[in-house]
Amino acid sequence: MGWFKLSASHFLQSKNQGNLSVKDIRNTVRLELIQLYRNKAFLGLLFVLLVLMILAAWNTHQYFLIKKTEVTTQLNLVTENDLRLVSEIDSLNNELATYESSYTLPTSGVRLTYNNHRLTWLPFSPFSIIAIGQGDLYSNYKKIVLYFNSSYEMNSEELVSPLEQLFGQLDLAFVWIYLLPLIILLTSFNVLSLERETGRLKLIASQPIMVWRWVLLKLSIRFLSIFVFIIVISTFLLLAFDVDLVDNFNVFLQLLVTLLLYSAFWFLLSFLINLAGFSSGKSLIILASGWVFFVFLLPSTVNLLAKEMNAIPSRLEIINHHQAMYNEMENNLEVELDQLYERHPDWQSDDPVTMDLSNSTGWNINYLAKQYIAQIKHQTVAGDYEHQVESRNNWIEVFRVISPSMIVQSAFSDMAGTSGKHYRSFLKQSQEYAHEYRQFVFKGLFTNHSFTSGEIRNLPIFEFDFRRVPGTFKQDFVIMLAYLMVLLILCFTLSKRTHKTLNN
Amino acid sequence: MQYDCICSSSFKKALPRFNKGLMIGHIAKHELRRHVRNGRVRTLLYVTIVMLVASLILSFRDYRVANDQYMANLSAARANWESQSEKDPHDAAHDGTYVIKPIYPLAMIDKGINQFSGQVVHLGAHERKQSTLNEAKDNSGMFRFGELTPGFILTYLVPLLLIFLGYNTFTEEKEKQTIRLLLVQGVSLSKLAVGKWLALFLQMIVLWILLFAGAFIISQSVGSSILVSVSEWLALGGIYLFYFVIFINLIVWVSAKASTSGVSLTTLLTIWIIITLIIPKVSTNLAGWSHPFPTLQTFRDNINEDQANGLNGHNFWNEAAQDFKQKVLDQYGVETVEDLPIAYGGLLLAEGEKYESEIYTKHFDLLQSQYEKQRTIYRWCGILSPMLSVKFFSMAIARTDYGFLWHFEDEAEKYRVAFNTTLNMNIAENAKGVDQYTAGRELWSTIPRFDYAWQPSQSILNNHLVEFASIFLWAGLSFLLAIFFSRKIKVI
Repeated sequence: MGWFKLSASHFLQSKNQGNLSVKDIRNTVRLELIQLYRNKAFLGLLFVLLVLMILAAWNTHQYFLIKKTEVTTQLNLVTENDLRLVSEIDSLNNELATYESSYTLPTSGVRLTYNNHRLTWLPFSPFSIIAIGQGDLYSNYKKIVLYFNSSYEMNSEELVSPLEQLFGQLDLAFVWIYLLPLIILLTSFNVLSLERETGRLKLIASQPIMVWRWVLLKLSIRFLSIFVFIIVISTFLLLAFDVDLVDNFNVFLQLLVTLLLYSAFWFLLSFLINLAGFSSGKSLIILASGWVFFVFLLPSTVNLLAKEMNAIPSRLEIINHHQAMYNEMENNLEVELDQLYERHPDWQSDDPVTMDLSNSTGWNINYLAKQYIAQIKHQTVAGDYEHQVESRNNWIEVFRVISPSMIVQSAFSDMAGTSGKHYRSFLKQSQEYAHEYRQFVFKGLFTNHSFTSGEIRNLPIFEFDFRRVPGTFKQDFVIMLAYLMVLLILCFTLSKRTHKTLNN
Repeated sequence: MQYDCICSSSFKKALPRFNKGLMIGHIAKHELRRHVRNGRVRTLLYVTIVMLVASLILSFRDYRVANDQYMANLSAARANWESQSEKDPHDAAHDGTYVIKPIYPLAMIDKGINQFSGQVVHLGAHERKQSTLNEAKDNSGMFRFGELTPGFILTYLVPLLLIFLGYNTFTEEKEKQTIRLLLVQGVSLSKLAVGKWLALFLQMIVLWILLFAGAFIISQSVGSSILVSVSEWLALGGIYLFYFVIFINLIVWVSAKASTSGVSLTTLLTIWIIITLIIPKVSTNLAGWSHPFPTLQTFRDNINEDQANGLNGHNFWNEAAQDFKQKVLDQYGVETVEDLPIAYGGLLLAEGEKYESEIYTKHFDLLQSQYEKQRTIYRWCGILSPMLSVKFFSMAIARTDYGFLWHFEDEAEKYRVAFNTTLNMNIAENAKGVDQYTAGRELWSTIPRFDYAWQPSQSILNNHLVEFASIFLWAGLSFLLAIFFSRKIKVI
C-alpha cells in the first residue's frame, strides 16, 4: 500500500500527455523494485527457483560424472587390452612365448576378434549440465564387437531403472521449460486487474498516462528482475560446475538468448491478458490454461499425431527378419559363401586352416561369415526401418514450432549434446565405424594373416563428427522472434482498446 | 448475480421443507447449475471429454495393433525357431530364440514403463539377457512432454480440470459476499462445504464413469485372449477415484482458506505442480542417489568373477569340471568318460547352464533388491505426493510396472534354463559315438512354447497395501482438512 501511495502520487505529478519522462521511469522502477522485494510471495518463488536450479544442476553434474567415469573406464580397458596384445606379439616375435590355440595366439585374427573389442563414444558437451535429454536412454559409449551383430543395431545399453526414465530426472531444462513460465505467470497475472479490483485503476486512469505503458513498465521490471536472477544463478552454476564459458562463449550466448526469448514470450502473453481487462482469477485461469496448452497439450498432441501419421511397424519384425535371414543363409550356406567371396575376393584364401572347421580358425571364419552374411541380407530392411524412425522424428522436429516449450526443449538438448539426434547420429556413426573395422579385421582373419604390433597400434580410431548433427539455433531464434512479434502486435492492438475503454 | 438470486430465494423456500441431507443436495444442485451456466466451465468440460474419448479410442486401437503384432511376431519367432537348419543342438541354443512381452488390456489405460522397458528377451546359451527393444529410443526427445493417453489425462489433466472448476468455490462467495446471505438463511458452513464438495465430486464422477465404462466396454470388444476381471477394473478405477477425491478435498480446503480467487488458484496450481511434477522427479533422484544401480560393466564384471572358477559347458579342464566329471563317473560306476553310456559333453553343457543360471539369478536378484530399496523411497515420497502411490498401483494392475517386467524376465529365465537343458540333454542322449551330431526340426518342434502366466491380481493388491494406505490417509486427512477449514471461514 505504501508503495502504491508513492506511485500514485508520482503519477499525479506527471504532466506528460501519456508518456513517462526518464525521471518518471527511474522513480517508477525504483518504487516497483522496492515493492517487489518486499513481496514475500515473489521472494518465495525466487527462492524455490533458486533451490530447484541448484538441485537440478548438481543432479545433472553427478549424473554425467558417472557417465564420464564409465566412458573413461571403458577407454582404458580397450587401451590396456591393446597394449597387452602388442606386448604379447612382441614376445612372440622375440620367441619369448609360445601359444597353442588361435584363441590365445596374439597374431591371430580370432584373438583380435574375441578379446580386443573397440569402443565408440559420444563426447560430452561442456553444456551437458543443462539437460539430461535422452541421455538416460542411451549409454555414451558402445562396444564394437565382431562376433555378434549387435554392433550394427541402433542401440547402446546401460543398466537404468525404467522408472527413472518414466518420471525423468530433475535438470535445469526442466526447471526452465516447465517452472520458469509458471513463476513468470504467477508474478505478473494481476498487474492491471489488481488495480481495478482494488479501485486504484480509476486514479491511475484519471492521470495523463497511458495505462498500457504503465502496465508494460511494471511488467518489464518484473521480467527483468526474474531474467537477471535466472541469468546470474545460471552463470554461477555453470561456473561452479566447471563449464568454461570463455571457450564456449558462443553456446553460452545461445543459452542466454534462448532464455531471454522464452521468458519474454510468457511475459508478453501475460501482458496481453492483462490488457484484455479480465479479473485476476480469470486472467490467471487463462494464463494457466495457456501454460497447460503450450507445455502439455500441444506437445502431447504433436506426439500423438506423429505416431498416427508416421506409423512404424514393431521392431519385433526387424528381429524376426534378422532371424529369418540367418535361417535362409544357413539353409543355403554354400551358395551364400560363394557370393560372399565374390563380393570380397581379397578375403579368399587357399590356406587349408581357413577351411578346416575342426580348428578354431576355420570354425570361427565359418561362424563369422554366417553372421556377416545374415547382417548384410538384413541391413536393407533394418535401414528402411531406421529411415522411418528418422522421418517420424523429423516430422516432430518440424512441428515443434507450434509450441515455444518444444522449441526451447529442442534447443537446450542441442546445446547439451543430449538430444535424440545426437544419440542416433552417434549410433549411426558407430555402425559405420564397426563396418570399417570389420572389413579390416575380416580381411586378415579370413586369410589367416598374422597381425603385427604395428597394425594393432594403428587400428582405426572412432571420432564422433559433430558436423553431422546440425544445430537449429538460427531457426529457433527466428521462430521465437515470430512468436514475440505476433504477441507484440496483439498487445499493441489491445492497448488501443484498453486505452479507449478506460477513457470511456 | 443471477445465481445469488436463485440461491437466496430457493433457500428461503427450501429450508422449512427439506431436511439437512436434502439441503446439501440442494447446495450441490445449485453449484452444478452455476457451473453448467458458466461458459468457461462448459468449455473445459467439453475439451476434457473430447480428449478423453479421443485418447481412449486411440489407445484402444494402439492396443489392438500392438496385440496383433505381438501374436504375429510370436508366431514368426516360433516359425524361425522351427525352420532353422539341421545343426548341433548346442549351436541352436547359441542362436537361441525370443520371447515377447505380452500386453495386458489394462495397458490401454496406463502404459506405465512400457515405452522405457524392452519388449523382447533373447534366450540363448550361457547368458541371461535383459529385455531389449526400448520403444522410447525410437522416439524424439519431444516424447518426454508426454503422450495424450488416458493415463496422462487421468494423472495430470483431470486434477487440473478439477482445480479450474473449483478454485473459486468458496472465494467467489466471499468476494461477492453471498456467503453472509447464505449463513443468515441458516445454512451451516460445514453443509455448504459438503454441498460444494459434492458438486465437484458429481462432475468428476461423470468423467470417471465415461472413461472407465467406455474403456471397459471397448476392452470387451478387443477380442483379446486375456480376460480382465471386473474386480481389476474396479481396483484401477477406484484408485483414480480416490486420487480425484484428494484433489477435490484440497480444492475445497484451499478455496475456504484463501482470501481471493487468485490466491486460491495460485496455491492450487503450486500444489498440483509439487504433487505431479516436482516430487516424482525429486523422488527419482533420491532413489537413484541412495540406492544406485551398478553400471552394466560392473554388473557383468561381478557375474564374470563369480563364474570364473565355476562350471562352464565349454571348459572341460578346470577344477569344477573335474569334480563334476568324477561325480558323473561315480554315478554311472565307470572309470572313464569313454565308458559312459551317454555323451559326457552334453551333460557338462546342461550342468554348466544350471550353474551359470544360478549365478545370473543371484545377481539379478541383487539388482531386484536394489530396486525394492528404491521403491521404499518412492513409497516414502508417496506420503508427500499421492500421485506416486496412485501411479505405482495403476501401473501394477495394468501390468506395466517394473514388478511385471521382473516377473516376466524371471519366468523367461526359467524357460531359458529348461530350453537349454532339453537341447543339451538331447546331445547327452544321442551324440554318444557320433562324429558330428546334428538335430533337426523334430527336436526344435518338441521344445514347448513359452507360456507366460500373469501375476494374479491378489498378489498385486497385497504388494501395494502401503500405496493403498497412503491414498486412504491422504483422502481422509484432506477431507477433514477441507471440512475443518470450511467451518473456520471468516465471513465478517
